[in-house]
Amino acid sequence: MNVEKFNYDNQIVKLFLIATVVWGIVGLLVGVLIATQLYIPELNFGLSFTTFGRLRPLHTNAAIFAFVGNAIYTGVYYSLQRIAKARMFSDVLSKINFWGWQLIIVLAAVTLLGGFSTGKEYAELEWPIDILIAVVWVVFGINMIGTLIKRREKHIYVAAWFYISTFVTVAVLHIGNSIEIPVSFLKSYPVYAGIQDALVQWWYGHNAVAFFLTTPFLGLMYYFLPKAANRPIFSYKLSILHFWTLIFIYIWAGPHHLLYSAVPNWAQSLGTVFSIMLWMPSWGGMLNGLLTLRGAWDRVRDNPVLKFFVIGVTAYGMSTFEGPMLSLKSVNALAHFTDWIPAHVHVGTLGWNGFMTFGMLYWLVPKMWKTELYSKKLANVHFWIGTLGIVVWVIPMWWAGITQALMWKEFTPLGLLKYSNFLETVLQIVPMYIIRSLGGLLYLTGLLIAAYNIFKTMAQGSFEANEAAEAAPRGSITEKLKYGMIHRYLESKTLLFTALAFLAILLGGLVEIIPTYLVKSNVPTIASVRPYTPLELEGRDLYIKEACNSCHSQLVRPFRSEVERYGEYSKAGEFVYDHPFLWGSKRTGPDLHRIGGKYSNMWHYLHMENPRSMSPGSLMPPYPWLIENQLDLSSLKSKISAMRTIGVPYEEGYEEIAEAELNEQAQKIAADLLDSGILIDSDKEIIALIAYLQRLGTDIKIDVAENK
Amino acid sequence: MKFSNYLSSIENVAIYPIITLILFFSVFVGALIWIYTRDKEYISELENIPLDNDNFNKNAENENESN
Repeated sequence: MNVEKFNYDNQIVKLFLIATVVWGIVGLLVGVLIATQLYIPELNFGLSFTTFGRLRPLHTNAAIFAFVGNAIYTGVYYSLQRIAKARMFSDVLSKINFWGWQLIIVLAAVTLLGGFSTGKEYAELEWPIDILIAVVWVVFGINMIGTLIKRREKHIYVAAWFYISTFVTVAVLHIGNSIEIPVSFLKSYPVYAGIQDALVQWWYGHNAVAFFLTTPFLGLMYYFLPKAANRPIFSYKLSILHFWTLIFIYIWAGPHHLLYSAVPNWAQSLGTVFSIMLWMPSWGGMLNGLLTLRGAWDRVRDNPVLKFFVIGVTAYGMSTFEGPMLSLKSVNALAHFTDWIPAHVHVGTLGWNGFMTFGMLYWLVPKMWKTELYSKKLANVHFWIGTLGIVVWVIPMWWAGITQALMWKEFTPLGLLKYSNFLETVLQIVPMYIIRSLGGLLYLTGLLIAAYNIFKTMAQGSFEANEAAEAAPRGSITEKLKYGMIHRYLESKTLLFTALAFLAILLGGLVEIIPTYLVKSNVPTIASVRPYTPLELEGRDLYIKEACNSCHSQLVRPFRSEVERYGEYSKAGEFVYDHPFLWGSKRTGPDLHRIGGKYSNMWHYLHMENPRSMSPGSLMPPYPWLIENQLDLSSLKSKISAMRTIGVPYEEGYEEIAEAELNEQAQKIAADLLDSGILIDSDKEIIALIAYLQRLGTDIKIDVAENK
Repeated sequence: MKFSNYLSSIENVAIYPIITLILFFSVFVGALIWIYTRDKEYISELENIPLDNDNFNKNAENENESN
């Protein structure tokens, strides 16, 4: 049998591996800082770019796309070459993938701190970066599929299936959710509005969890767990069933993020049903991972790699049980908007993604540097400190979430809200916030120990950029002649498979979203709902820039406790001009949908300047720069015309008079503030923000008044 | 509001959920059939892909076992 000699590219794996560790430290550091800001608001430093609203998206993006993203590339670039018995398709594409991704991360950090944000969770980056992401991602895909096409191994191992579905789905999700109309170089509006935008966003958001945080890591599990345990996966047949059921079902579950919202009921039910179904394939995968270690548990005791994998896979099992449970409407009614949700998310990211990554790093570095791990003891310390960190992070947040939700819903015997002041329910859980930040600090400490251990291991070993390998080529010429067309068909299976996976995930998305497009009656219109005035529109963009929606929802759910606290529950028709929707997913502060008209302009002014002057003990950071900064009107005209293009009924030529109207409204607010003893120019940012806040949720109040 | 209200103006809309159901169900059944008709040798070849390509030495597995 003739054998071909070739080299595996370890250099690219090394680069991604180092990036994983570096960005992991950065992402966790920001996480610990924002966790601390929640109980020491002084740590916002009174500066725009160090305030919670700017840092929170930086933390989520760094953790997901920088830390986990680079970990995915590390694992894929190592394992794919081995299971294909081939070097990566193109070294140039590998390099473009690496440097392009790091460039995206740096650009993301700079723009997010600068307040350039689309306002959509986990998709905050503005359009030029979106395009760059799409390009680099496609480069990754071509490189991966190219490698599989030129593979020497006859079969495609199941890990590669997960990698391909990751590539295909993330591409579809990213492009689908980023269809936006540019206003200026770093500002855009999504073409979708209101409930459509919400459905598209959570179709994306949920499946970003599915296909960025789950499927690639299942692929890594199916490769690195057998490697580390030195035995094949428990059941290969189960892994095939796991794969198809998972990707078919996952894509449908997005609407469970929108239960009790203004989204149509059938879509909510669809999300719930598929979330419950999802439990089966998820646990099939978890059991497949854990049972691989059957009869080898003694090895787990003295092998740090296996220890990390066991906790990682167990955390996967826990969070995939918790997920379906949280999508039951009755549980969701309690948990949604509370700290239970970040607790759920962090079981997944810290436990599943983090620990699988650490296990993989501890296995890869000695292997690629041809040495032993520098210190097994330190790895064990990391394991325990990390596990403790997760526990100390998650349990207080479960506790906080349930406590606060129960307080929100509690009535006195006379039928009044027991805790009518929202702040009371926040102050109750501050001790939990303190403990949570310590959990984060422990976890970060573990990573720092790992970084030291990995660095020392690299220093004592010798790295080989190109690892020599040999394998027989796939399919000789005589075979090709013998089987003819059929054989060629089988060889092209990589592409066929990619197409099938594409079809599977596309169906779910289309069924979810198409109905909201086709039929107008899907969004019952409310006659009194008008487009925002130019000043309100500018104020809304400031709301997005400061990411107020990180901590405030704009969605009153149809519960007695919420209607009592906030006012009339939110209707789908109220959001038809909301590009993007700003419902939020967490209430660190109260809901703002009915804030309009509730307080005076003066109250808002003083509250933004120093929240604690109006609400003693408030955790909200101050926003002094809104009072100093002049409102930037340079793109007002293009904002109006962009909005018109995507369906907001501003009259033709309205942009010409928009600025005059804006000034008129601003002067009214400034005059009102002056009456209250506050002297401020009408061209400051705070005026626009106040205009927007005072407008929020007031449209249907007019309707009610007229009907009376 | 009911699902059918939203979609009533799309012609023959009832066929779509049925097509989707049939498609999903057949993929699931197809996967099951495929899985259960594979012979043991084929599956064992597949599941050993990650383990049998250590180039340094082919007997790595046995060596590690004895460690």
